[in-house]
Amino acid sequence: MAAPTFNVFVGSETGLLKGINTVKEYWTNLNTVATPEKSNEIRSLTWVGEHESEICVGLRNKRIATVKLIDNSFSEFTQFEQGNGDLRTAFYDRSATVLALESGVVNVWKDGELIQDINTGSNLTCMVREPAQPDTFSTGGREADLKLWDLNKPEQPVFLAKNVKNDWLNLRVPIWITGIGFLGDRKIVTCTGYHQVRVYDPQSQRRPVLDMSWEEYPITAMSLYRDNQVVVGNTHGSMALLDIRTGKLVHNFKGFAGSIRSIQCHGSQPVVASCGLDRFFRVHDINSRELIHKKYLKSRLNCMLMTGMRWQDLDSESAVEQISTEQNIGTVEQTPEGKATEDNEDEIWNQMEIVKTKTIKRKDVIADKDSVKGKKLKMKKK
Amino acid sequence: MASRKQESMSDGEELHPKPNISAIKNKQMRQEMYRKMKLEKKKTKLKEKKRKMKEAKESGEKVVKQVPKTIESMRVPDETMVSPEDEEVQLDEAQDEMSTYFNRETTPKILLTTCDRPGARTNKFCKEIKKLLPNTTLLYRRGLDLKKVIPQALSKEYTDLIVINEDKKTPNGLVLTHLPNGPTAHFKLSNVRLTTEIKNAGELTGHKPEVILNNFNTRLGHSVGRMLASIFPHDPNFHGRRVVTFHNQRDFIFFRHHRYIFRSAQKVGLQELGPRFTLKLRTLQKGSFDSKYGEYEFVHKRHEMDSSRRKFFL
Repeated sequence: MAAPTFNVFVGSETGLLKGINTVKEYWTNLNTVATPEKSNEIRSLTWVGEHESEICVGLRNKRIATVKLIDNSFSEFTQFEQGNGDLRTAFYDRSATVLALESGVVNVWKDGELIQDINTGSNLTCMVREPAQPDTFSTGGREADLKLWDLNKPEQPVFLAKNVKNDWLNLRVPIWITGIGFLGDRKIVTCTGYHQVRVYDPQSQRRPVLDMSWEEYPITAMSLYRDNQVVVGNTHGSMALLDIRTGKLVHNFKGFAGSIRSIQCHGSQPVVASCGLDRFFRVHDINSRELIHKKYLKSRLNCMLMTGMRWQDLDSESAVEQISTEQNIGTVEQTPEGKATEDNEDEIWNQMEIVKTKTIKRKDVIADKDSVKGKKLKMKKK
Repeated sequence: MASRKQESMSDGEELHPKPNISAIKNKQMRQEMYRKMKLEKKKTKLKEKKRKMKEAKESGEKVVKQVPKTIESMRVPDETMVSPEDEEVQLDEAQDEMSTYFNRETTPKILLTTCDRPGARTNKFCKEIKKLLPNTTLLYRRGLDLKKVIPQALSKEYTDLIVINEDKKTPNGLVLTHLPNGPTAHFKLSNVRLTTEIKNAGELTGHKPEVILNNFNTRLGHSVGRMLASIFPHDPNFHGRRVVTFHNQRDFIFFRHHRYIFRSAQKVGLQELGPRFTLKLRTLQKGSFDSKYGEYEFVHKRHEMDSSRRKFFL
């Protein structure tokens, strides 16, 4: 049980996976790379299953491995040869492996066989799985607008976005999606290489419900923070918190020297971690904008994964054991209990009264005020 | 200030007080007096120093020459400082874009061009760069976009593209793009002295020069140093005794070009060949030149980064 605990994992361009403990402020490489080749580059890091116990590592040359967090051990790399182009994102769940390639092809493998081959359009740049529904994922890329797919119905996309209207010169607005995030109420947020942030609501319309622009360089990374804010970063090393209800900038974060490749907000704490081409891993406080943590990791950093563990827990010596026991509970015991609690919650919700807020029209308010004024005047007259 | 200095000087030496210099209303007189005062002060200081040295020698103490405190020597410790023996750095450098040059798979072939309609001084400067860098072609820009130049340069198997930009008819920017796929460095170019403006500048010979890279110690410095090294061919002609120096000091890269001669076992003679200029890194971009959609590895943000005068990036 002597394996060190890490709460952040960073994949680098050299092919090294780095584990960082943000509380004790140390980091190490979790693997070694024998030959210097560009194809070893780690392109994607995703969780295996819902519990944060295993990481799926995807290399550029379509090789996949998993890392167990209990002892930070790598499994053997499996090569997936099918399809053109380099790997963009990969995830592994319930014995199925899903690979998204740069050519726009999404392959689903099961037991060493290719079972699905979805063509999502050309030049794929990102593929993100919906956290609430593991079978659905969305894709986007250069001249490939946002599409929502269901693995059970791979023939047609569930949702296909429509490009925004032509600009004031009546020219088509180019498409280049670089990041996708899922909001709680089934809305989708995207960021683009043409420095826009867009919010889609698949239930209401195909065009974005909000379209905002931020600075003038391609946005490369994005992470949602609570249900109405998003942290974005661009190629010029700027990172900012944007509000997606008002479409306005909240504040900027400082301290970056190069392009930001990956941003992730912590699930429960107001901190945001980022990494990128300047080889630094940084943690900022979202509210105070303060730089809390900064580490130089020697290689260009591509992707990052942060556990939802609270940092206070991380400090304790027995953190490793905690994780392992939590996982056991999660996999075996908690399922019936969890259901029971969910049912209880539903009941509570059902029992609650519906509180309605009366919406007062502006007209009425003005009329009210006028009447009051009138009364006052009358009083004076009297 | 002046009055206080006066007081300290007049201590014990002379009884009558010296006139307050800043109270003199005639500017010329005041300046003259000030100059005299400074000179006197310098002399007394030197005297004092010599006296102390003498005393120390007589008493048998060892006199240690003090190292001056400069902003360079007081540099803030930097975590990006890497040792070249570091395994991960070696791994990173073995797969970077310049590795083909360092593995001797490619020989540098350079395309040199300018901004549109360069001034006379920029033209002269380019001609000198062309003479200095072996295997270089100087081409007129013809109003072409850099993004259109790059594919053409690629088809003609150029390994590097250098663009000299100017402002007010003087060269002020240098873009160095390594081909085929980057990186691109954008430097501020200043203090350009052409060969004709350097006193006793020597005649240039066609030998391949030796390259000296000084103080490129951080990881970013390594990358920049590698880029600068990779525009010069391997195997210098030591017979030519030509040496090109890129000396980094406080993030400014000083370029000098000399011919050396070993006069004796101790003495070395240097003759400057020119030109002479200073570079300062503005941005380092991944990939070939694309200022709009390219990803930057380093951007020098003046107001954000220059918080400490003792912090350097190269």
